[in-house]
Amino acid sequence: MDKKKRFQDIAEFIGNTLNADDYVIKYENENEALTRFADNKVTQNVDTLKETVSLTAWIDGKKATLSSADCSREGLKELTGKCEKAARASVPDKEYLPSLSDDGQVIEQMVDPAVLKAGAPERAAIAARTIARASQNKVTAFGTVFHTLNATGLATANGLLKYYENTAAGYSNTVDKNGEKGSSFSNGYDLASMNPEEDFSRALKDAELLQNRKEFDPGRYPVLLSAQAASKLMMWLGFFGADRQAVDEGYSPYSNKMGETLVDTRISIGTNPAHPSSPSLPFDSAGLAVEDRKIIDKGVLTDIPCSRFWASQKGYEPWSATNVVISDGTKTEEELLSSLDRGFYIKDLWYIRMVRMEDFTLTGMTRNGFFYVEDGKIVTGATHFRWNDSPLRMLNNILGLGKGSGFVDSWFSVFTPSLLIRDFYLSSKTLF
Amino acid sequence: MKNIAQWAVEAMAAEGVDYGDARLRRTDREVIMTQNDTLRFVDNFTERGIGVRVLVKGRWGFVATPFLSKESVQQCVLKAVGIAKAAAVVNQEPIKLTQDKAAQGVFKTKIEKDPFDLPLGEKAALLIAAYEKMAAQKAIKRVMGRMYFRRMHQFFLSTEGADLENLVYTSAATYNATAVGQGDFQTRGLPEYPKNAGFEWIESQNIVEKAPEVAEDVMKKLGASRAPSGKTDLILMPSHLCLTIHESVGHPTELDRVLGWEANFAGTSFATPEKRNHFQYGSPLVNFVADNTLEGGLATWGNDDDGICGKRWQIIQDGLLVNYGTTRDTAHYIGDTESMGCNRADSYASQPINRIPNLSLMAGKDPLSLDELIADTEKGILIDGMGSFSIDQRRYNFQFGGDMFYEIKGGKITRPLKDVIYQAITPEFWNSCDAICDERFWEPYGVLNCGKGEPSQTQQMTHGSAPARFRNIDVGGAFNG
Repeated sequence: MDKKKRFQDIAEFIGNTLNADDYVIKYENENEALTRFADNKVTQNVDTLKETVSLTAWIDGKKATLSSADCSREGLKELTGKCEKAARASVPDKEYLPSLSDDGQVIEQMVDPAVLKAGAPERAAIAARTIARASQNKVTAFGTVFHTLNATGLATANGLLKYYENTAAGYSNTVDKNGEKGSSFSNGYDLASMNPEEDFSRALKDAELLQNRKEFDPGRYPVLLSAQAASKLMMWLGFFGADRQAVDEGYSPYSNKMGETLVDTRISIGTNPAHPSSPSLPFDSAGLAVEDRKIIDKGVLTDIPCSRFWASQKGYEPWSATNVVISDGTKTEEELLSSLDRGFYIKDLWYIRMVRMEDFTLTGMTRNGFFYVEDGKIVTGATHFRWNDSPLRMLNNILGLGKGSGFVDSWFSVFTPSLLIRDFYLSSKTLF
Repeated sequence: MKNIAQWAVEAMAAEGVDYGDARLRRTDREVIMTQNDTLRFVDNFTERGIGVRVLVKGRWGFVATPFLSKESVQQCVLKAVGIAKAAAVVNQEPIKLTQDKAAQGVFKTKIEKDPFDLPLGEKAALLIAAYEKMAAQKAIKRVMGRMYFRRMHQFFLSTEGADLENLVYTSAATYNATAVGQGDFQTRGLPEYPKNAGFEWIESQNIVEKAPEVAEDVMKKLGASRAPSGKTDLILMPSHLCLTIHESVGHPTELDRVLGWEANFAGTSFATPEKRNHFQYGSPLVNFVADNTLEGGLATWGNDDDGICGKRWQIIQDGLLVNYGTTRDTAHYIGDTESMGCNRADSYASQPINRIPNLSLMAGKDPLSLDELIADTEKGILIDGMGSFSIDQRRYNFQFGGDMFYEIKGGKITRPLKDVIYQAITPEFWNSCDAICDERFWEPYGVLNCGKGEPSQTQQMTHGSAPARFRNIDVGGAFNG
């Protein structure tokens, strides 16, 4: 199926059918194929297709949005009719701004043909190889192999027409040896980003190092966060408070802090949809182009994403972020580890949630690879901790900055360095 | 519609699969979100498609498509068979199913008003009216309103002869107010109380009339002191306990986690099979009943996506772990010959996975009111509504916040508090439960956004309870570093 052509046809048909003052059409097509294995057997094996067209229409200043998976002519006719009816019965849209027109944005498609060619036999072969290695090593493996192809199109009544296609491929595995688990994953837009052999070896090595773990007391410790662990924590910077209206009205962690040095001056944080290791959607839900832009520049809070409505009220420039990119360093994790006198090496984190928005305190658990370190060397595996800390505090406590790594999900991507930080708060123990 | 699923089952039979089922599902979903007096987001979403699942020589194959021609459905089945056969290269123990009897029937949620028949403006106006009741309080800068409606219509047919139809409605409404003070901001929400019901459920909750009370609460929080840290007694309200139950009892007793099938993502469980009938999960007051027949329950669908009709069973009896939530491909691992019916998919395009049923803490057997429980508590904190939540990957160490907090001293509520966070180990916590109010105070709250699985799925279920007291729980440790 030529999805771009299909999107253009749908947009043209809706444009000719709909009777509204203004509209925005969003088209999404997601083909996801995934093989899941657990306990050394394949437990799920899926290949699914979802196609959705979403229509927002304004009539007499009132707005409605309807979405449908039925993209046939009859389905689209029904969608436009129902959307008109819903908009007439809606309430006035007090934040209405005319839909965007063409801005000439050049969009690079992030599609790897090798991902498109990969199918169930390729996924099964990877799962079979993992399970065979697990059996040889007398361990148990759990994980996934996936390939996806996503397409997103956006069209407006004022002539904007944007289309983006991206592939993603990934492998993840958890290896259990005598109840101790190591884990590793690799993913990206291209097939070459996947590295199942290395991921299995890493996870196996961690599971072996975790045998006979020792218990430690809660407290503040220097820790080395692997880039994979850091990616799970730092992606929260993209979810909360990065909204200009919230900042201006006082309910963001960034309120009253514009222009201040918030974190270590080695750190810049922003968005860049063209980042090669963590690409993301190059336009937002209104069709506004997303570009390489900083929120924190060399430690200073300089700018915050802003909706079109708030920008029109306050005279800002509207802009959006679709991923989080954090500046990195040059050291490998091994080099950072060698400079840690006494502390912990955290290779994975789990169940991260907001605790207190005012100072961006998050909580979560350490998971899988978690080691006690002395004199730059892993001494033993450690029993797990709950932690409570703020990424903004952590980025002020940097002892060393490692090379970055990208993490690509179907809905978000992040690029983070590994981080050696002081005074990370490991607040309570668990029973393993 | 049903004939489309029939095409799939016929094609499966022709391919000689060991087992196969087809779910033809249409889901209508409406989300309305307001900010103050503005309709910020609205989406009325219709999804329709078929998911076909086949078991061939002990390997699953699942394919889904929104294209519903006979040719497309037949191709889907062939692809699913191909995927299952491709997995034959994996040297593994075959997937097996329990031998449950194939069911036939129709289930429909009882409703009075179909929310999808009502004008968008009428529904949004309720959320805006709630904001207007709070607008006079200038410190309240933002009120976020949300309504959620879902209508799911499904035909389930299998090669074993299952023939099931269900029509399930869900309705929910809530709003959150944010007040800004000197160097601080606080939020308070109307606890979301979702139910499988029609719009009459929203009307019965009087959400506009409750707005002044929510505004008063958020202002109280803004001026409140932080809770002192240390051990204290907690009285947890049903609107709060819902999430604690979900995380510390619901997920640990999902059998797929117990077996390790979620080890790569959602985690495993400490409640392993050898503990069944031997492990004191909670105090003798603690009884948990799973009930997928509960009227209005969010997991009350008539049947699950294995075609098993709704059941009611005990999971924790007088504090003892006695059973799990199971599916046809997991139950036999613990020696059971039938599934309890917990396999559910969030879309036609998702392979069903082991999900938490409607799971509730039963009310106390002796008469006890909330006032009497407070009067019987010398020192403690009462927590209402949901807040921050996190639990480890084996479901031991958890940490929860809440939405509204009151200090209790000498058997009386003395003052509001803010930033209350408690932390406990699951079995220690449930064994510390020494009082549960009686059935007059039992309320079935629920969650709409339970995430699990790879690919990720979202599911809903009810967790009822009455206010309950827990002794000597750690509070405030999150901020002590």
